[in-house]
Amino acid sequence: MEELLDTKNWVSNYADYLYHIALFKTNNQSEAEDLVQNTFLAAFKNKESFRGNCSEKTWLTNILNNKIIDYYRKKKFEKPFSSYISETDDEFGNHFFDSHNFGRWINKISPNYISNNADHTVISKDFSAAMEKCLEKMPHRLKSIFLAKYFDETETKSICSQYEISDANFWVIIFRAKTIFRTCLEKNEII
Amino acid sequence: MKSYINRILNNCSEVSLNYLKKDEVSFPFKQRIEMKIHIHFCKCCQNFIHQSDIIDNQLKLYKESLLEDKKVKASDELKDKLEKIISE
Repeated sequence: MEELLDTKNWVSNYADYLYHIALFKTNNQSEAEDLVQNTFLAAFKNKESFRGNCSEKTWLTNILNNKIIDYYRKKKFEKPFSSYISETDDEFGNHFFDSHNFGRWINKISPNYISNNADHTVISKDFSAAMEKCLEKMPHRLKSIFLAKYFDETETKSICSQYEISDANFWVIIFRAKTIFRTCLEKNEII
Repeated sequence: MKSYINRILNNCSEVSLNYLKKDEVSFPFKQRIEMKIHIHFCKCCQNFIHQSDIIDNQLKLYKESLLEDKKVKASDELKDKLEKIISE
C-alpha cells in the first residue's frame, strides 16, 4: 500500500497546510509544531494502514485532527464540562440576557456592517483577521468543540463521544461559543 | 393567555439555542410554531440567526481559503525535523 503514499513529498506538499491548521486551532506556535511532528510520526509509522479510500491530504488532516482532540483532552481542565456549564450559567446569562426584560438579548442590535450585502462569496481579509482574533480569545474548552462542529464539520455524535459530553451540554457549549464569537465580531464591527 | 404569550415572546436564550439545533433535532410541532412566532416578532433573535448563518458560511470559506493561503509557513527548523521523520 505504501506506493499509494508519496511520502517523499509530504513536507513540501503538506507541512505548511498542516501547520496552519494546527496554529489556527491552538494559537500556540510550539504546540502547533509538536502536533505536526506527531502527525508525521504517526502517519509514517502507520503508512501501511492507508487504504487509499481518501486523499493523502485528507488522511493526514484526519490524523492531525485526532492529535488536536487529544491535545485538548490532555489539557487538564479543572472541572468536567457539566460542572463548568452549571457554574458559569448565571454569569453567561446575566452577560447576554436581560432578566429584568423577560430574558431578552441584552445586546443592542448591531448595524450589520456587511450583512445586507453578505452572500456565499463574500470573505474579506478583515473578516478573516477578526475571526482569528476572536477565536484566539474564545475559552479553550468552547473553542475546541466549536471548531470541530463548524470548521471540521464533524458529526455531533462523534464530537460528543470524542469529548465525552452529553448531547444537551454539547448544544449549550455551541450556543455559548457562537454567542461569544458573534459578540466579538460585532465589537470589531465585522457583522 | 397573557402569560402564554409572554412565554412565547420571551426567552431569547432558548429560542436562539434551539435555532442552532434545528437541523439536527426534530422539535414537536407546537414548539416549532412557538419558535417561529417568537422569531417573527423578535428582532434580536432575527439578528442572531442572520449573523449565525453568516458565521457558518464564513468559517467554511475560511477553511477553503487555508488551501490557498501561503502566508503561514512552517519554519525551516520544523521542516527539517519532518524530513528526518520520513527519511528514517
